[in-house]
Amino acid sequence: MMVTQPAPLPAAGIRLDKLGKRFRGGVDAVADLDLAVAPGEFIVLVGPSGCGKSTVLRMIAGLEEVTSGRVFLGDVDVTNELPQRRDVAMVFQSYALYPRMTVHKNMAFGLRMRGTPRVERDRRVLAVARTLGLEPLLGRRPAALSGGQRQRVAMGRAIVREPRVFLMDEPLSNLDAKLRVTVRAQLTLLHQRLGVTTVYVTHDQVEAMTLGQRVAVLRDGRLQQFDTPRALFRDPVNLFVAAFIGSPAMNFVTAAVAGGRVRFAGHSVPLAPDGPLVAADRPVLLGVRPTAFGPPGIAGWPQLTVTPAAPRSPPARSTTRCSCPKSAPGSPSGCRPTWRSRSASR
Amino acid sequence: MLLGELGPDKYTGLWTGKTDWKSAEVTAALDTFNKVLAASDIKSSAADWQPAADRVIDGAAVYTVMGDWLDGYLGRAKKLTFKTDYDVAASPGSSGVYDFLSDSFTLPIGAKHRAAAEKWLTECGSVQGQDLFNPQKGSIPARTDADKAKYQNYLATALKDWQDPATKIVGSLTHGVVANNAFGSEIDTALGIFVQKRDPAAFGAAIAKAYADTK
Amino acid sequence: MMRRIRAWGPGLVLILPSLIALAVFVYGFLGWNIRVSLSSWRGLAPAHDFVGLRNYIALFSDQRFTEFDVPNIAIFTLVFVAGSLAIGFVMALLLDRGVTGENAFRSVYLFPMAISFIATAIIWRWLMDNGSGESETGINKLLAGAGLGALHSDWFKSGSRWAIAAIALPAGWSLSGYVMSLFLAGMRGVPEELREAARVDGASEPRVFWHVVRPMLLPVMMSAVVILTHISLKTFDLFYAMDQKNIKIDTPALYMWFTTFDGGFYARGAAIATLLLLGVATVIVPYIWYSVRVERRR
Repeated sequence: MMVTQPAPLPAAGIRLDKLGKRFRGGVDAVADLDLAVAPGEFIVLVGPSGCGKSTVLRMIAGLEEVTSGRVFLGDVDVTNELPQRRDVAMVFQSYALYPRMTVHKNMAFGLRMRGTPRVERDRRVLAVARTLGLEPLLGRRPAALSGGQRQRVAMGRAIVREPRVFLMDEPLSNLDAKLRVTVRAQLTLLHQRLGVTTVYVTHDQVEAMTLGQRVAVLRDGRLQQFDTPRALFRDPVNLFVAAFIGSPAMNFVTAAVAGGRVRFAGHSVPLAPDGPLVAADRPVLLGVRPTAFGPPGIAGWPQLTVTPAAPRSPPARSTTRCSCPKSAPGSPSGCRPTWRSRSASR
Repeated sequence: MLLGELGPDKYTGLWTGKTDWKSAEVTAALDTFNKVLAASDIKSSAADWQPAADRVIDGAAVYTVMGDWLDGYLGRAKKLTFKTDYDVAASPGSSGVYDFLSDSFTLPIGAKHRAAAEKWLTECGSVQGQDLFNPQKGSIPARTDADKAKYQNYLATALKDWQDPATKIVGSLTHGVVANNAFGSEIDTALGIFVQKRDPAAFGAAIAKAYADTK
Repeated sequence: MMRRIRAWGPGLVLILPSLIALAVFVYGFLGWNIRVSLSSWRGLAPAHDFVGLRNYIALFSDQRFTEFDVPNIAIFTLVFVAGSLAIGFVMALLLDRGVTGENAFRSVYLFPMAISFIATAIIWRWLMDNGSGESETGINKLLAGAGLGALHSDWFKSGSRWAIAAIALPAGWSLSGYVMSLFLAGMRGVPEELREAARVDGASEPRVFWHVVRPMLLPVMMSAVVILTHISLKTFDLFYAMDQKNIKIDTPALYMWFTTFDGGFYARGAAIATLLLLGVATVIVPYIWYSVRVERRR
C-alpha cells in the first residue's frame, strides 16, 4: 500500500500579549496572559475546568472577542480579525461534524469555502483519508460513524485544510479510555510528521504531560507555569502546579527546617548542603510524590506508616510500611523525587 | 326578476314543473337579470342585504330589492322616516303580486313540556301575540282580525296589499316556501355560478336538471 | 404465555381506552363515511343501497366542484403555505439574530393562533372590506391614508380567479407565528459549535447559514409544510365566517357542509369528505412513512 506523505505545512508561531477576557457580569475568564508558541511546537493548555483554557483557545481561533491584549499569528496581529480570515483549523470537543454532509463533504468544506478547485479538493481529501484510514467511510454521514471514527474525521477535516495552526479543544474526552491512549500516540506521530503548530486544550494532566512539548498550566484565568512536562513535574513553581501535576497526586506534610535537616512526623531527614532550603530555619510544607516511596528496608531511609487517602475496601483502612528517599533538597515547597520523566526523550 | 318578467302564474309554474326552465322566455328573463346585475355592485350571490341597504342610505345606490324586514332596519335601527327619508315601490312587473314567506315554529313529537309549548304557540297565534310581535320585527300578521292601527307607515301598505282580495300570492324561494332543501341548495350553487359566469342558458339547464333530480 | 401477558398487559390496558375511542370515532366513522359515499342517501332518511362510484363520477362533472372548489383550494393552499413559510422563516431569522425582548415578540406573533378562525374571519372580513368612497374601511382605507390608494383591492370579493388568495392573508396572519416558532426552535437546535466550526473553516455568515443551518432545518420545513397543508385542506370556519356563499371562496369543505346539511345530499357530501381525506392522506402518509423510516434508522 502506498502511503502518501503530505508535504510539510507552513507552520507559524503564536504570540499572546497581555491577553484578557472579561465576560458580561465582570468575570475575568482570562487575565494578563503572555504566551509564546514557537513555529511547529505542540503545546498543551491544562487546568481544572473553568480555568479559562478553552477561552484562550477560542480567542486564538477568533470565536471569542478579546477584551484586552493582542493575538499574533506569525507576525500578523489578528486580534480583530474574523475567524474566517485566520488560517487556523480547530477540532472541537463534540467534533462539530456537519450532520447533513458526508465525511467527504465534511472534510472538503473548508477548502470549498476558500475556493480551492474541486479536483484539488478531492485529491487532498483522498490523501488525508488514506493516512487516517477513513477511505471506506467517505460516503457516510456522521450519524453512521462510531465515536472513534468521528474523532478521526474531525482530525482529518482540520488536516486537509493545511492550516498554519491547529487548535484542539479536548478532542479525546469523548473517547473511551483505551481508545484515548491509542489516539494520543497517533496524535504525537501526526504532529511529528506534519510539524504544524498545535495548541491543545485538556483538563487531563496525564494527557497534557504525554502530549505537550511544553505545557501551560492555568488557574482562574492566570498562567501558573509554562514549561516542559519534566520541568513542571520536577520544579513546580507553586503549590497549585505541584498538586495539579502528577498522578497520583503529591502528598503534602507540614515540616520544619532546622540545622540542615527537615523534620516531620517524628522523622528527621538531612538536606543537601547546597540546596536553597538550608539557608534559614523555618516551617515548610513538604511535598512527597507517591512515586518517591520505595519498599521498606533500604538502609538510611526513614520508615513511615502511611494511610492511603482513598482506601480500598476491604479493609477500609490499611497500613503499609513504606520508605522515604534519603534526602530531598530542591524546590521550595517539596522534596525532589527520584523519577524520570517519560517524555524526557523529547 | 323571474316573477316580474314571467308573471305570477308562470313563476309559480317554475316550482311545480309547469314552466320549463330551459324555455326561451325564462332565458330572456335571465338575460334581463344579467343586465340588472351589470348595473349593480353585486359580485357574489352571497352579498348581504344590510351593507346593500347602507349604500342606499349613503346615497351610493338608488334602490335595493328587499322584504318587509328592511323597514324595521331603516325605521328603527337607522331612525329614518317613511315617505320623507325613504319610500317603497313594487319591483317592476310585480304590482298586485305578494311574494310571501312565513315564520313558523315546529312542535316536535315527544316534546317534554308539550302543554307549555302549546300555550306558547297559542299565545303567538293570538291577536294579541301577533300585534305585539309583528310591528317590532317589521312584518304583518297572517290574521285578518288584527288591530290595523298597530301597523303604520310601510307596514300599513303591506297589510293593505296582503288583505286585498285581488292580490296574487306567490311563495319566496330564498325562504324555502317553493323549493325543498335539496332543490334550494342546488339553486344556490347554480346561482353562485351564474353570478360569476353570467350564462343564462347554462343556469336554466342546471336548474332544470336539479329540479328533475330532486323532485 | 402468562409472562407475556404480564409483560405488556398493563401497557395495553393503559392505551385501551384511546385505542377504542380511535377505532370507533376515527376509523369507524371513516369507514361509515366511505360507506355512505357509495350509497344514494339523500334527505333525512338514510338509504343503505349501493350505487358504486356514482357520487364520485358525478362530482367530476360537477361544475362547482371542478371549476371552483378544487382550483380554489389549490390556489389557497399554495399561497397560504408558501406565504406562511416565507413570513415565518423571515421572522425566525430576525428573532434568531438576538433581538431584545425576544420573548415578547415571540408571544405577540403566536397570539393570533390562539384566536379562533371564526373570530379571525370576522376581524378580517372588515379589514378586507371592498367598499369604496364614503364606505371605504380597513386595509383599503389604511392604504389610501398612506397615499397608496392605487393599491385598493376588492380582496376576496374581487372578480379575479385569485380572489381566494386574499383569505390566505388572515390564515397566514394566524399561523405564520407558529411557523416562526417552529423554525426558531429548529435554528436553536443547531449547535453553536457547528456554526463556529464553519466559521473557522472559512465560511462567511450567509454561507454558514446556507451550508450548515439550512440543511438542518429541512425536517422542520417538512413538518411545517405538512401541518399547514392539511390545515389548509380542512379549513372550513375561516371561509364560512368570511363570506359564506361566495362561490369565489368556496372550497370542497364548504361544499360538503352545505350540500349535506342544507341540501340533504348525504351521499354526495360523504364523497367530497372522502376525496378530502384522500387529499390530506397524500400529504400526511408520505410524511409518516418518512418519519418512521428516520426513526428506525436511529
